[in-house]
Amino acid sequence: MGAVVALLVAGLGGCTQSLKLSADDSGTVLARQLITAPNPGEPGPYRVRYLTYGSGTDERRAAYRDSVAIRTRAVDASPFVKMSPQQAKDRKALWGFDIKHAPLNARVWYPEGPGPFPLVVIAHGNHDPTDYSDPGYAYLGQLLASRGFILASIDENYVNGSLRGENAGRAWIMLEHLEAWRAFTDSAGNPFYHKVDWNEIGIMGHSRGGGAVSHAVQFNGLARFPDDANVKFNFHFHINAVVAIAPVDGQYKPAGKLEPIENVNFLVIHGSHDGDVSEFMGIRPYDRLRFTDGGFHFKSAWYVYRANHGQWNTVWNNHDNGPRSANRLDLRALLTPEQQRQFGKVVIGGFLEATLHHRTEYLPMFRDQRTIGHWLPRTMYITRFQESSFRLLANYDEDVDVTTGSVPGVTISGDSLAKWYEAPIPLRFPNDEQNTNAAWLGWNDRIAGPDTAARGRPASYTFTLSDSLVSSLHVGDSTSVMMSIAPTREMPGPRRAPGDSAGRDRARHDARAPIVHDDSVPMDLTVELVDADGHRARLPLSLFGPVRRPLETHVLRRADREKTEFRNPYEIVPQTYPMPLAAFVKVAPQFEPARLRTIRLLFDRTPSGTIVLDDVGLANMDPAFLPPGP
Amino acid sequence: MAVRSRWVLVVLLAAGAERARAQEYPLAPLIARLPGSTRALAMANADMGGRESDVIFYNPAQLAVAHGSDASAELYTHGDLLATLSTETGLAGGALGVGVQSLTFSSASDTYASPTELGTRGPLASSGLILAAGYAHSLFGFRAGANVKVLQQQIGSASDTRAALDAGLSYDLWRGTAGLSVQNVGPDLRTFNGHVSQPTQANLGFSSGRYEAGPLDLSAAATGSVLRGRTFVAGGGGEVSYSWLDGYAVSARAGVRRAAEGEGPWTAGVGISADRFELDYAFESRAGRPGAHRIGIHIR
Repeated sequence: MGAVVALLVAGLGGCTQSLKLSADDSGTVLARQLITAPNPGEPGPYRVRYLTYGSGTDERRAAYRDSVAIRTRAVDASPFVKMSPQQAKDRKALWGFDIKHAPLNARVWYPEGPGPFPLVVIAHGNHDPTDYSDPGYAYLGQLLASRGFILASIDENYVNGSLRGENAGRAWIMLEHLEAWRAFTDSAGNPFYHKVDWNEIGIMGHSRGGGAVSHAVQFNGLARFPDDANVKFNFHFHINAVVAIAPVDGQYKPAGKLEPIENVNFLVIHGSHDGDVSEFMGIRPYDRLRFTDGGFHFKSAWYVYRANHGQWNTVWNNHDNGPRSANRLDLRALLTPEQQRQFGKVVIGGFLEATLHHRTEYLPMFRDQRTIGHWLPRTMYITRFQESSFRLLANYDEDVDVTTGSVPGVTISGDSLAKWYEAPIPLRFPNDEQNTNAAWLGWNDRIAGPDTAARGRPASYTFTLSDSLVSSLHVGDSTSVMMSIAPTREMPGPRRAPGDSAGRDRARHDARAPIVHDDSVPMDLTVELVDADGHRARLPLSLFGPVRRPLETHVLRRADREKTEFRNPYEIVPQTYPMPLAAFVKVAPQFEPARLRTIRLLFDRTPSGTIVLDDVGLANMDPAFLPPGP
Repeated sequence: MAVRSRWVLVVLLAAGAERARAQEYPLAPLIARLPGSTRALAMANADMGGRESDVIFYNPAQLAVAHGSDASAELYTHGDLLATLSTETGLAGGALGVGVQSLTFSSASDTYASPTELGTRGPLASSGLILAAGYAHSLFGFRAGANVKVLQQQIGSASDTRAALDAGLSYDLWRGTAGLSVQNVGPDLRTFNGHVSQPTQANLGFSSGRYEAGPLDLSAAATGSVLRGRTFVAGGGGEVSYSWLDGYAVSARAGVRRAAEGEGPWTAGVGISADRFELDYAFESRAGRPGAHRIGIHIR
């Protein structure tokens, strides 16, 4: 009988999985606080005021009916929002208006004072249309307004629900709100008359709204709608800051393309335990963003361990999969809503302070998360960073020759590597990729055979730079070597014993399948720089940021579904390591940065492993990014 | 209309539930008048908008959206046993379904077997068999389907086999499915001393979608049928389900009916689903004798 009961309980319990999380190293990584400026996640000095603007005729929400402080015109969003006749009919019945008469409704938190203040517009994403999403950013509104920003959380609930062709509309509506604001600030008697600093505009979006910010940046610079050139654009706002919160990417492709984005400051944040957009899609627009105009810009990506999709919106919370998310998603793994939102406040607040208030003291937090250890909620973060002085040496996207970099003057060689190839970086969903290639490098120093202590020489991977290239890049004491690295969980087999005919370039390794790594062995490697006179300077990679194997991620309660829905129980997210050459000079004073010739990864600190390497380059970044450093 | 009206229909059916007029019109084979689905039986045998493969025994049009395979067995008193198998597969943009039903019982009459004889001990060892193959396709928002069936009945030493046709139509509305079907159109079966008409019947019914009510899912179904001989029967039932884990759920079902010959007025059942598998139990009251028990499995 007991066995039957046990079987019944097991059967009814289904194949649920125990809570599996990577060992938390945040106590070490985030032990220090190096930025001394006020915490951007804490309220500032301004008194906060609040109002709503909108149609004034909304049938469902009093906030946009009786209590609007400013009435706005309706806009025809039909060129940008595709829906079937039945959907159009249903929506008109639900909302009382059709998409040709879309209202411009928003909740506004703003600082008391004469201004002018930077204006930030935030667009929510897809959710139950009747569970209104726009109030969910009040916590950001309160914070940002207290710090001297105007935040407008715009209403796009009327394009939420089952639509699939509305993402262009989300972007266009965002820009139409900015048009409405232009009228507000030009109208004497309006509460916002002359209160907006039009040189400092930010746009933010969450989920599909986060995908829409990329479209909005594009539309803002275009004269016509790419999918219907009869529709003219004339926006040209000075958008300086773009924030994508757990964004989608590619649901809408202007003219059928994943659009390139240029010359904006960009922040993307994403949770490892996102139960809706369960892969780091936002890394793709991050990667597509280019700085081409010679101006000062930077981009920053934060992958937040144990954060979900919805807790950055107080309405959505932990219902990433609808009201019954607890049936499907393993909610035990999640940060508390307060922790997750505190992270959002710190990083978004710091980003907007740096980009719209030009508070340069916040710039280092984007170069190195360890500068704000006391501000960040205790979890693990993987960060990407690049600023406009970055000059590429190798991103592995230009050709199929593994011995050349991405620009003339860079040659690449490998020694004793068990694995050396270039391939796309996958995302978690099968058949989805980050749309960028990387170098995959594996090593194992152990020599196969009965002597388990036998070791070969450390494997290495080397970039050799030509004189002319180094000269043209103005390499010097203030230059930093930049690279992004993600260790994987694979460990190649040991090398075969010497004496065979294997060449030097690639050690012969045991052909057995790779073994999954033992996480108890720390991962690290040495970065070696060599100048033209052969002076060497070596530092461990871990000096410049946390080096971790992939973070164990199980989003679903059912182990079998987790296996079928995802390619890996982790996302490969390379961590960016900015490595100031000055740090190398400190340990090897004879090393001359201006005569840099070789950048070498020496795999001598962990006996075996595999890494994914991308975006190798040099940067003469603004000194404000550098101090303080660990 | 929507939800409220559908529940009103169920309540009206419940209020009017009573045993239908005793049949005076002989029909055969008996097996063609028996339930084909455990889940449906628990809800007064209403399944015109069903989406499992055993819908082939109710409305072939729904094969177009049906899924999986089903097997079930219903046990009447005295060992009378009805067994059912069905499955479906996609074909040429539509769906092909096949179903088999087998009945073993004992009959008191050598002319035709009445449903009242199920669960009684008669002198004549008897059996029935249905082999059905159906195809359904979606067209202009409707689904249309038809079955070709072979019906066989043996009572004592007398046996006959005949072909029959079913046809059905269904349409999604109000987040549910309305269905219309005509079943058992075919030539009379020969019996020991004459011919007996097939139990041709026309059915009209509605199956709701699932409605969330807090942690519970609610659904309902109702059917009205006119049987050859002008007997009108109707029934409706509801289902309450609770899921605690994606893919796992328990359900409770009940139905009331204006009962056909031999049937009692109420039905009930429970089910448990675990991912691709569902195990269902149903009970139907019988007129004047103990009820029948049915167990079924559904595999998606």
